[in-house]
Amino acid sequence: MAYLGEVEAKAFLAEEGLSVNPTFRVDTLDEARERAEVLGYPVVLKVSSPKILHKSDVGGVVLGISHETGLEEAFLSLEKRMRSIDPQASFTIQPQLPPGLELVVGVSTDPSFGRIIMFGLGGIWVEVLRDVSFRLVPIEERDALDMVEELKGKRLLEGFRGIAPLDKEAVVRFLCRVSRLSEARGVREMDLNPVMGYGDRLVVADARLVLEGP
Amino acid sequence: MEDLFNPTSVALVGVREGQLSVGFNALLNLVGHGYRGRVYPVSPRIKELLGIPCYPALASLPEVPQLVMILVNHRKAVDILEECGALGVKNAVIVAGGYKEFKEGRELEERIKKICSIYGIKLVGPNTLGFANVRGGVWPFFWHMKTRPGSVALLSQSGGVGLTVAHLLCEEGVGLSKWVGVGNRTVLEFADYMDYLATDDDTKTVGLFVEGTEDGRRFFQAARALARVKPVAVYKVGEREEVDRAAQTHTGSMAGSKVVYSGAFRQAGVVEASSPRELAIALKALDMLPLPRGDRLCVLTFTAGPSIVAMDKLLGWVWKIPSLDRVAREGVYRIIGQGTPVDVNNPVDMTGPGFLPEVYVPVARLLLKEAFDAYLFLWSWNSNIRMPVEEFLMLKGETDKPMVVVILGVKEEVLGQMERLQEGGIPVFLTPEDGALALGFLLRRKRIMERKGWLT
Repeated sequence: MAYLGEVEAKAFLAEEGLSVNPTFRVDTLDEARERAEVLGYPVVLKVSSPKILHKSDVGGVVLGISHETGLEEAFLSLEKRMRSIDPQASFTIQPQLPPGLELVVGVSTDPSFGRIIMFGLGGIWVEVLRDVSFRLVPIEERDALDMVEELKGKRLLEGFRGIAPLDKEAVVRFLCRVSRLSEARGVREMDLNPVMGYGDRLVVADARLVLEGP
Repeated sequence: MEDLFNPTSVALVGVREGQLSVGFNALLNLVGHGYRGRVYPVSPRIKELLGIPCYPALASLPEVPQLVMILVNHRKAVDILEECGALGVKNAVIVAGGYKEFKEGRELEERIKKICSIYGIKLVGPNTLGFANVRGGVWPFFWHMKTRPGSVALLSQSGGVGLTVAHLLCEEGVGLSKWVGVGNRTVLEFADYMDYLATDDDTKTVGLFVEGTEDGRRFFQAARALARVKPVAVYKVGEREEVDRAAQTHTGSMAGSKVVYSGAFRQAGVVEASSPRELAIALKALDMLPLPRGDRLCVLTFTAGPSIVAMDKLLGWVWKIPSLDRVAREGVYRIIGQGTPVDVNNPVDMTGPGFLPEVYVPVARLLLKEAFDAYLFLWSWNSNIRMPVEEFLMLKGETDKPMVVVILGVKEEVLGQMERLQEGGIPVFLTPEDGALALGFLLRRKRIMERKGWLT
């Protein structure tokens, strides 16, 4: 089994044709500064450590860093706090995505059903609402459409408070692609949370995955 | 599987005298339900039981029985199974529990699996009440079940829940083709029974009670293949995590999470009920009603409240209850009386005049010709007023659209009307919400067929 952290997981997904928010490993403040210059502010800084799976729970994510001074402060503080948990911890930087609809897409291996795919409302909604639907991999287009339609909060997908309605067809294509690639590439677990929805475009904002095999 | 459900001879190993004996009850069921094959009670101690000669051992029978029901304790049962194998028996039931659901029994269950694989035995159970081919009159079944021959097959992972659903169906006037307590599913799994039922001419509709299965993938594939040809409804227990665990200790299955099962059911095209009662209503609806062509429903009543309750539930099941057009409205007024102080719409409330058969029936007939896809006819029972039962049956003969009648009354009083209507193919319910639930499941089935491209 191979575990892929955010940077590797996103590279893997990009290779499979999914839109990802490009993310780079940075080990020092200088590297972070250089990367931020190229990406443009605002940026997001995150801890990257196999010992820290739930980054936000330990304060390992700093969102919306809008200038260099902010980046310095954020980096130094993050470095201090995270290295006390894992001295080997490194960091990643990525552009701050604009607000959109936060979705979650997952793949896991069920002891009885084998490979299954999950779709639902993402970000903070996942844990509170648990508004998710499951299907067995592989799915067909109509299964993906059902997954969208059986969400209790599907009205959120129809647009609210300045967030554009989500194109169902785009979600269907995304889910079918994840289903296909999870079979083709032997995905054991995949956690895409959040996937940001912008109308007909879905962008993977955070990802981790586990591949089958040695 | 045909030999299992319709064996020409059955041996019962472990019969004893007395009505507290499991074996005695099994024999009583077999004989009492008119089994026409040869019956061989096996017991080293008894000469005859219920007037049927007993044999000291399986080996002393005049033939190799097509089915052996093993009614001895969990340890001895394995030895008898081995004996069956050596004799060439191909179908067996083990009723005893105490196998994989119970620590020390795991090894015994492994032995059962091995014996069946070596000798090619199809085994029902263990840990089961047995099964019943109700239509065929074959009951290798040791408890009591009140039912009648019909076209619903039930597969239940729990004997008790299987009985509950069978009895609820019986209360609803719906009979069974087959009933199987699948038990621990050591050899025959849900999938095997489902494969069989897909081609069983006696079975029109299939109901499942599921606690959990180790091979969810195979379950899913069999369920999808079955649902393609026959309506399938399921009730899966384990809404709560604690219950998921309880289900595991009950049958020793690695029950997956309920939400995953629900997803798999939908993907397979199986409709899911959320209680034994809902399952019974779903099965009644799916077994008795034709599929609607669309989702436009008409509700006819002469008492507004219950129709509004029905409407509330029906809209939740995404039925549409569209308004009557002007011409139809005028037609209704012509029958109920122009001056009737009511705003006729849908639900079509005829108020006072509606309880007269000569008003109710012509309005119903007029509505049948309108652009609706299904009908819910409400009738508030009054023992002084004739319910137009024969007219309802005539109306049914005039249309191929699904039609449900709700009688607001006490079952004891309306039983005759209920039975007559149901014999004629109109399902009857006693509350508006049950009628709505039945129509709800029907529309869900229709949507499945549509979405999956299974409608021919």
